[in-house]
Amino acid sequence: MVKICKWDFPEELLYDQHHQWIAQTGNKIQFGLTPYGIEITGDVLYLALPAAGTEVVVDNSCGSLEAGKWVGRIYAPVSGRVTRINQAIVSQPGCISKEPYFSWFMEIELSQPEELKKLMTVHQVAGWLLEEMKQDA
Amino acid sequence: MPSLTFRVLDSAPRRAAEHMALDEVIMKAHSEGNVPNTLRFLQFKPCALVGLHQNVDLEVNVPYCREQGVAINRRITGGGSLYWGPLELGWELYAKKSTPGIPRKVEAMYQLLCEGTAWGLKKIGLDAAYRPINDIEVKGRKIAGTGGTELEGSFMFQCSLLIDFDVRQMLKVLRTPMEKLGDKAVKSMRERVTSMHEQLGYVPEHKVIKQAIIAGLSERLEGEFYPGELTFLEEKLFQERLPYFQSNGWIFGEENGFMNTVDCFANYKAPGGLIRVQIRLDEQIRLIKYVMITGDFFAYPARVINDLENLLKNTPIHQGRMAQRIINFFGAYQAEIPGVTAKDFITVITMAIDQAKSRQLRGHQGGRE
Repeated sequence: MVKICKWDFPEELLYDQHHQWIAQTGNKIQFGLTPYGIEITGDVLYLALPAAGTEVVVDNSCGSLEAGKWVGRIYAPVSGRVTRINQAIVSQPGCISKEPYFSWFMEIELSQPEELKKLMTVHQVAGWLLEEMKQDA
Repeated sequence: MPSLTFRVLDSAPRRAAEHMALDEVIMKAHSEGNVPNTLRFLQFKPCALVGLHQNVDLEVNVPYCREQGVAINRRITGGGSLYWGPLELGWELYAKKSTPGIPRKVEAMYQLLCEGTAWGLKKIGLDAAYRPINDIEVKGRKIAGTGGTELEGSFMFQCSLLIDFDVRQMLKVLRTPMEKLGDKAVKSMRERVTSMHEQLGYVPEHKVIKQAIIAGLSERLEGEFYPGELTFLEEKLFQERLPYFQSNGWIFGEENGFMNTVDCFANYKAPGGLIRVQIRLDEQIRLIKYVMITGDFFAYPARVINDLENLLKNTPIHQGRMAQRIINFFGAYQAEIPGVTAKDFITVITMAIDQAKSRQLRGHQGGRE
């Protein structure tokens, strides 16, 4: 686990620039929101996710979340087909803040596995995030 | 010369569908780098607007709106349902998330932009102030609400300002947890919201209000605002997208994609008087969407109940969380409510929630409500 400011980032995960974590198993990924993403957005009150079977495109919006009166987007970290939705988290979005790394949104079967190379490792995300925070200071 | 600049878009009142389509069009065009930072003023023909994830049938009195010619539409932003009268004024800001001086944390952004707006409104004599998390108030009563959304590297923040608000019409247009539309409901709502007309005794010209908002934002953002128009690209996209925003598919949407709600209420006789709560909960009964507290108890300062209601918005039902919030609130607040304690408020809210739970259980068991 790597600590970036007060937030934990597991070393075995990948990260994107939408403050999402990505876990890969074979040709599938699961993803969710990092604790820093939750800090920016606020506690998630509602999640709207696509149906299983939907084709998604990397970096395109594939769902939305509501926190307070803010509507944020969920972005596909890779291209592919949605194979599973985490219904438990749809029913209880309050868990996202409590257990961000167990609160995956959906599972995607990769259609372009090379896209994984564009995601950040924990050490890359640390550098990127610190730069982001500096600009926001 | 300030480096941060904003094009200002203004137009005559538009239909709800047109404004909703423009929201999406400008958001997209800005996120693709095709249009500059933008401040847009909005005036509507009378309409009811629901939040992106709300169920129209639960939030709006659809037959009444149809009968009265009040349009219904869905925002691309979140939050609750709104009634827009002909004089109400909205404004929206479109900018990059990476704009220097604008925090990326949503709550901090709300604070900055609400404070900027309140600062501007003070210039025309309104005692306006930011009320966490995302409202503007005058002496404890809400005068403006805000919301927002994002797309890729851009965000949109929006604000609705009550100019000459018709509370009676709002109570007819929207479905609220208040069980009747009598004078009590109107009085109760008037204790919670106010308008420029009520506060100033007259309705300022819209031009004056807009200048005040620009002045407030300009100071807070250290930005410059200049008049502008929609680009050809935006006009083209607008014409393409308008039919979608006029369609029942957008306005009423899919049944399963919404945050459904349930309403409940309870009365409780505390030593200091009767406490009545009317609550809107999420369908799973896990979250208080909002609560209205009335009764015949005495409370000083008068705003304490409004502040408590505001604190309880979007509170998880889990009794520990709700109760702790109420206890903390009264621990920190210098309020006088003779014969009524934090425990009494916890009791009556819990009674209402338990009522909703047992009603739901009866429903699941095939009983009639």
